[in-house]
Formats: sequence, C-alpha cells, structure tokens
Amino acid sequence: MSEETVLDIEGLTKRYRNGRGVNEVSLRIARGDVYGFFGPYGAGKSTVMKIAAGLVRADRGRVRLFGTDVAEDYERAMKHVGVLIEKAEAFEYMSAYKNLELAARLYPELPRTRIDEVLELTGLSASKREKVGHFSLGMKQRLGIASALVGRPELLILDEPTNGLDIEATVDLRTLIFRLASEERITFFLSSHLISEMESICNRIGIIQDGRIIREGSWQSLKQASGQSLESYYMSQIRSEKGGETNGAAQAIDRQ
Amino acid sequence: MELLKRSTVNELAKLYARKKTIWLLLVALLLPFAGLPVVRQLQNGLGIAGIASDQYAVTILNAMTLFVLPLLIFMTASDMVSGEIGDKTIRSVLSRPVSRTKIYAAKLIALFAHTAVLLLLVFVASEAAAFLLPDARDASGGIGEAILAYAAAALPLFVLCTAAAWVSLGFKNASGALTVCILLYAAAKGLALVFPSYMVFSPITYMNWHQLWLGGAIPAGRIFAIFSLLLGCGMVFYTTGYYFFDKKEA
Repeated sequence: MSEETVLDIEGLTKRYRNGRGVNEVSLRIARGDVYGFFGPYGAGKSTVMKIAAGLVRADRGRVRLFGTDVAEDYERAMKHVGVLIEKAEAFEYMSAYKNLELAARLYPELPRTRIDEVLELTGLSASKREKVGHFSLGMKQRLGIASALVGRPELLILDEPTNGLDIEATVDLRTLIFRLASEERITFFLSSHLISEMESICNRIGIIQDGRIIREGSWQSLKQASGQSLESYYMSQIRSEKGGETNGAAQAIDRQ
Repeated sequence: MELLKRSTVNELAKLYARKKTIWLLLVALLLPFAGLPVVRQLQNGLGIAGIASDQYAVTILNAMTLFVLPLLIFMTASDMVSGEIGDKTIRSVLSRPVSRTKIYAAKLIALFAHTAVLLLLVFVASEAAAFLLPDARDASGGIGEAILAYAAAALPLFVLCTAAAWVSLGFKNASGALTVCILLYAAAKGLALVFPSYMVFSPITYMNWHQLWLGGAIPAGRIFAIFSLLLGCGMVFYTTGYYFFDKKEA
C-alpha cells in the first residue's frame, strides 16, 4: 500500500508517577483509515491519543501528523486535526454556538456558515442558543464532536466519543463516522468500549494492554485469520496476553 | 500574529461572557460613588478638610490599587488559568492549531486589557463622582494629572497580572489559586510594612508608584529604577509562567 501516512507514532514512551503509562508504542495510520484503538481501562489508550494531540509530552518517541513532528511545529501538525479526548469539555456559561465560535475563530480561512453546518451534522441546531450548562451529557458529547469537526479536519482523534450517548445517538455517530470516512475521506483514530459498534466501521485495529500494543493490523486480515468477530477477537487477545501466552512474535505489526 | 489576535479575542469573549465579570465591572464602576458619603462626612460633619474634588480621582486610585484592583485581577487570573485547568476546558483550547506560546500570551494580553478597562471605568466613575462633591466647581481641574496617574498605575497592575497567572498555574481550581494569591499579596504588603528595607525589591511595594508622577518635580531617577524593577519582575513572571504552561499536561 502506498497510501499517505496521516499519523505516524514511533517508539512512544510515557511513564506517569503512579507507574502507569505506555511503552514503545508505534503505529501508523494512512489516509482514509478508520483505526479502532481498543484496550481495557488504564491500558494507555488515552495517553497515546493525548500525546498524539499534543496535550501530553512523551518521555521518548515521536509523533508525526501529516509528516510534521508535533513537538517541532505544533500549529502546522494540528492544522487538519480535530480532537475529542475522553469527555467533551465546553464552557458551560456560553451557548453551543458561542462555544463553536471560539473554536472556529482559530481557523482563519473558515466561513462562518461552518458552525451551522456542524450543528446540523450533530443534530444540535435546535439547541444552539442554549447555554451548555443546561445540556445533557449526550448533548455535550455531540457538541464535543461538533467542535472537533468545525475546523474541517482530515484526521479526527476521538477518545471514547460514544461516552454518554444513548443508543440512537451512538448509531447516529457510527453513521456519521462512516459517512465522513467514505464521502469526505476523513481519517479516524478512535477508541471505544463499544467494540461491536465499531466493528462495521474500522478497517484497522490496534489492541493495547498494560501500555504495550499487543496486536495491530488490518481488521480484514485479522478477521480472516481468526474467523472471529472483533469482540471475540479482542477478548481472546486480552485473555491470552493475561495468560502469558503472548510471545515476542505477537507484537509483530501487521501493516497489510 | 493573526492567531495571537484571534486567541486574544477568544480569551476576552470567554471573560466577558461570564456574569461574574460584568458584576465585578459594575462594582468597580460604583465604588467611586460609594466613597462620596465618606468624603462628605469628613468635610461637612466632622469639619475636617477632606479631599478636594480635583484630587478625588487620584485618591480613589490610591485606595483601589491597595486592594480592590489587585483582588479583581486575582479573581480574573485564577478563573482564566486554574479555572480552565480544573474544569479541563483548557483541552479545547490546547488541541487547536495554536502554539502554547500564543495561547499563554493571549491570556496575558486579555488580562492586561481587562485591567486597562477596570482602570478606565474607575477613572471615568471617579471623575463623574467628583462633580457630586461640595466643591464640584474645581472637579475638572486635576484631570490631566489624574490621567497620568491612572496610566502609570497600569504598570504595577500588569506585573501583578503576570504574577497572578504564574501562581494560578500551580492550581487545579480557581478558588485555591485566588486564596493563595490573596495570602501572598497580603504577606508581601505586611512584610513591606515591617521590613521596608528588605522589600524594596518586591513589585508589590510599588503598587502606588503612580504617586511619584504627581506634583511639581518628578523624581526621574527613582521612577527609572522602579520602572526597571517592575519590568524585570514582569518579564521573569511571564517567562517562568510560560515555561510551566508549556510543560502543563491536560
């Protein structure tokens, strides 16, 4: 495959004071990929995503976005990236529209109509003048997604975007991701606990446990080799890792 | 430069979208009028030669730079820095294609601009209130000197802004940062009274340096020395503040 690499993570290591963190994480996401990043709580998913978005500094390793090192030229690297980490945090004393205006102002070339576009996309048009403090968790999460989308990103880093969403909104989000990936060729790097929801939209997956990537590759080829659903495959990998059955070869990265 | 300007507009938009900010501006606007009964009491009731109406704006500035304006700056800085760190809204700011250098600079510029607005409001309100004093005919007499005093007072207040932002970076909630800012300020003021010779290097000692600009002979040497000290302190607070902000994990 000679696809353009959008996100390139190399030997990422970060150790927190509590001993948690990630160790020598490497992964590569090509344009158009919908990359599902899975792992148990505390495995290091958010850490990798936060480092990729420049919110946390790595102890070692490198993150390149569209060929630019995040640590060297942050503005250029992040120019086409939208981010939603863990929970959407908005300014609660402002309306949804005003919150998006804050975000949109930082993309000088953006037309003002873009705010209404993303409100429409995320189903928040009717509540755009309401203060975010009055929003439900699901509405706040939709606003977080709208805010990530406002700058017309080519890569979306979404950490648990389905947090707080009800079933209908989760299905809507899945449809939206599918549409943005197929029609607008937006690349996704997303983590979620709703693995079965993600199976139909991810073309590549990475499984992280205890700060190490234990499996990574094309979901299509992993599925063919294992003959399992994504959920069963994930469980088998996590259990075999816990059982100490994983050897060095298991860490080999399948880049098909 | 464009992104710095846009980030500053964002900081100001967030600041003035808060009801608290508007209320505090209103308080700053009303305080000069609240001082009128005290002055009238001194002049009429007790027969003490009180404050001449042409000196009222400067007298109000002397009083406001002692505690009220620093308090308003601490409240704004703690909300703007530790408030955003605490409620994690800082993530939505840091994950945009804007460098941390510009984000921190934008926060400080917005804080300076807000301080300038506060000074302007207090000045206008004081000048207006002076016309309600018994000798109101002279009220417009000292306006030139008052403008000079208010302009000069901005410098130590700007330094205080950089110091307040610096302190706020160490906290994850605005109330904790505010409390520590107030305690440190009170301690510096108290120490300046007890050990005046040791506190000549503290910028807090010069909150009233605008008084040096008033009167016939302006002490140029002393003004230059204090200006240099305030500028140096401001630069140290700003650069170390930026260093910590740049290292901050969100």
